[in-house]
Amino acid sequence: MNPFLLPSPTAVVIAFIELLKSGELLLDIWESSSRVFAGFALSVLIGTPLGLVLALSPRWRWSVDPLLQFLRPIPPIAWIPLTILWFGLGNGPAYSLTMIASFFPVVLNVYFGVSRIDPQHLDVARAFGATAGQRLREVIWPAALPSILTGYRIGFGTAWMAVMAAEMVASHTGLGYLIQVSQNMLRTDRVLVGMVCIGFVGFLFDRAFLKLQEHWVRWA
Amino acid sequence: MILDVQNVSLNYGPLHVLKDISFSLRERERLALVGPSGCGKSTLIGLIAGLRQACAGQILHRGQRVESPSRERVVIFQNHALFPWATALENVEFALRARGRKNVREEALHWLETMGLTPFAETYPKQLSGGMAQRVGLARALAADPDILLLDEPFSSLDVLTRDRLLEEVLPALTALGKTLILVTHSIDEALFVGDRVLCLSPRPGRIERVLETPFDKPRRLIEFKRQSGFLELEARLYSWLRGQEDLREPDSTIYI
Repeated sequence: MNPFLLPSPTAVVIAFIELLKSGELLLDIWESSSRVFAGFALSVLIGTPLGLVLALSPRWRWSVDPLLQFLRPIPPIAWIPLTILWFGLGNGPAYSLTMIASFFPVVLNVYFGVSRIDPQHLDVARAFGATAGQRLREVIWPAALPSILTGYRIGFGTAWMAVMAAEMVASHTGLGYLIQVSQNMLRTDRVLVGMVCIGFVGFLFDRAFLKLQEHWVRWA
Repeated sequence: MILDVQNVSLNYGPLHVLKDISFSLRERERLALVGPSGCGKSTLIGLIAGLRQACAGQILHRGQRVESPSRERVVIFQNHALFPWATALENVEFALRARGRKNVREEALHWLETMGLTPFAETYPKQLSGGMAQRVGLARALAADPDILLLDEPFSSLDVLTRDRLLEEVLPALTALGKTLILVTHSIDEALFVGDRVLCLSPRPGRIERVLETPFDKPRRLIEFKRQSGFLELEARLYSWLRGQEDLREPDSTIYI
């Protein structure tokens, strides 16, 4: 087969070592990761309270949920033109895209987790005289935590995918940019290095989330 | 009177669940509530707890109308309703914190000890057997220090040996604490052993058909209790009453051989 269409594993390993030695690869991994963390953190900060409110208040659910379900099918890439116009090239589009990508899994899983709490547990808490704050901290939050963490895990994964799209179009660093620029330079071996790294680093992050989940939800 | 149930009725649409229920409860009294499935026993407990509202009539707890759940009337459910994310100790601690207590650990350990649960303090509910979980439920309810304890078939998912042991160990503890309680049960011997009085509810609509005083001594052990003269007659009478209630209203239950 034409080595340009599908480079041999050796060629990919050589390209990998080359990129590692120059420091370029680690920098790209760092850039992509930090963008994902930034956008994901925004999602968690906004999405978690919103999910709680949606589950606990029928009025909010009634007014906000249709808007949410309308925005949800718009894929993160469709936001690229606007985000470039609004924030310019660089981190702005990457942050907003990772946020958009992780926002819906976070909100919907928090909402799901809170709304299917066993009503008997809420009855017990109410009957024992627990304050609203206690019910939130000691019943609603721990009861919904498995779903909430699942939402975070899925959200982080979708943000990791979205950052690549953002970097391919609107950035000069990151693993997505590495793939894009290597394609332009006809360096298929480097394209493959980029893809393998995306897969591998994404896998490591997912395992880390899994460990956190196991640690925090020991009781399940 | 600590509790006054006055002409309470409840309908779900056209379905009469409870009809004109009236009784009252003396201080430190133990009342057992029996009746066939679907007669509204658990519903009545829910009304007394304040978890739901009656359609007519009222319930007074120390003269105050019951309108919402309160720590003074804690329910123990059949499925124990423990928080699965909290250890036995944390479950009890929750009840204490909900009362506004600080530094709850020592007190929580004390309640676990009362129920013989000290070795299980750090255990999660899913790791506990049914009997042990129900003990934690009792410890948690006692920690809430309720005026009236509402037991909604707490022993009915346990095997007989576990249940008997639990009854024999828990009842003296409750007596020592001077608790007033209502026990809902399907089990006749349980009702007679626990109750100072036994209220018999008929189904659809649930109404009080008869009230039995249990004229027995209350030895610690159930087996001795059952050996008293008169126990078998009373048990048989209650049994045939319950069966009669079921047979009259459920013609499908006839088995043809």
